[in-house]
Amino acid sequence: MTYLAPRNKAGAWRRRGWLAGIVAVVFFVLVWQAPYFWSGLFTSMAAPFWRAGLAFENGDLRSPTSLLAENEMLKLKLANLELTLASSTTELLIQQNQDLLTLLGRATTTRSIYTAAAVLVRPPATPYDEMIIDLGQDDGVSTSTNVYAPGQVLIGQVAEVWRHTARVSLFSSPGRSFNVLVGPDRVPATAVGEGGGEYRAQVPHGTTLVPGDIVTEPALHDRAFGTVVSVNTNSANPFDDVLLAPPVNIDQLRFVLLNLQKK
Amino acid sequence: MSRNHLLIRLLFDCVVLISVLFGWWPVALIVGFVGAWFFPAYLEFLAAGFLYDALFGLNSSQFMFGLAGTLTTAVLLAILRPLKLLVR
Repeated sequence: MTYLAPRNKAGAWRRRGWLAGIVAVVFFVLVWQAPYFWSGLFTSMAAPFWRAGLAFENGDLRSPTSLLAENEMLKLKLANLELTLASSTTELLIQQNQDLLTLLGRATTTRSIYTAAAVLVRPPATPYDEMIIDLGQDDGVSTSTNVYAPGQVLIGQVAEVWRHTARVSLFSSPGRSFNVLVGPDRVPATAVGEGGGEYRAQVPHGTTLVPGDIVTEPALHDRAFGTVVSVNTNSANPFDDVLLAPPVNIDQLRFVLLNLQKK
Repeated sequence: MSRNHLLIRLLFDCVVLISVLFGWWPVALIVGFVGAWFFPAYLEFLAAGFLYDALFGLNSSQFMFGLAGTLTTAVLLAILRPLKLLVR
């Protein structure tokens, strides 16, 4: 006589549990040992979709005639701006600054080349105040390359590079810190990322600061880093809490500048 | 699984995938959650969570070791499973 074997439900569940456990362990080992492999693989696969999204966002899918007309108009505008700039005092001041630096032996021997990169994905789509840009190893980008918003506002550094794309970690990323000089008295402080494009810093109690004061990088060439948004004063505390933000809205950045230095 | 079910599942997958690619995480979460409720063993949701981390988190060493997407979807799937058995 033939009997059908009873289904061993408990055994089946145990086997599934073991299988799930093994898969989870393998997964976490792979993530721990080779995180760059996964992000590199998926980023290179996602990049064409991001580029298509960016083209759609920028209106690059318009007719060639309208693009050519816009190109002509922009060329004219650029020529006008160059003329204005050449005759403005800004250019004279830059030249004067350069002459003074040369006189003091601090003229730069390296040439800073700013290369524009399109922002493929930016906050708030990215969760940790990071950006994905469309330049990578092939374009000379390396980790720790400084990234600026238009107007030479330092906003972050390249954290990871792939062949045609790179991930930028913004200084406003939670927990990241950067030394800055706050206000007209250039009070040294450490700006700590708060997320959402904002920083928090502490300055000695009694420092005169008002919203809108400039925050700069501690370097010979004063470059804007941000502005003071608010100052939280407590007389019982020896330090004042200062909220800082970059002068540009990082959520709306479509292009950034990368400082690729060349000798 | 009927052909129609498969097509609807593929449609859900596409919406979740596009949402993850462009960082619309709340949309991916909601659609994935609905998919996990209606379809059996909706592991694409877990894959979407991992894809999100791989694209935007994994090396950040930030919140939940950059595995917020994977862990969130895993927890949601783990909650849904007994809930589905209870309701159906």
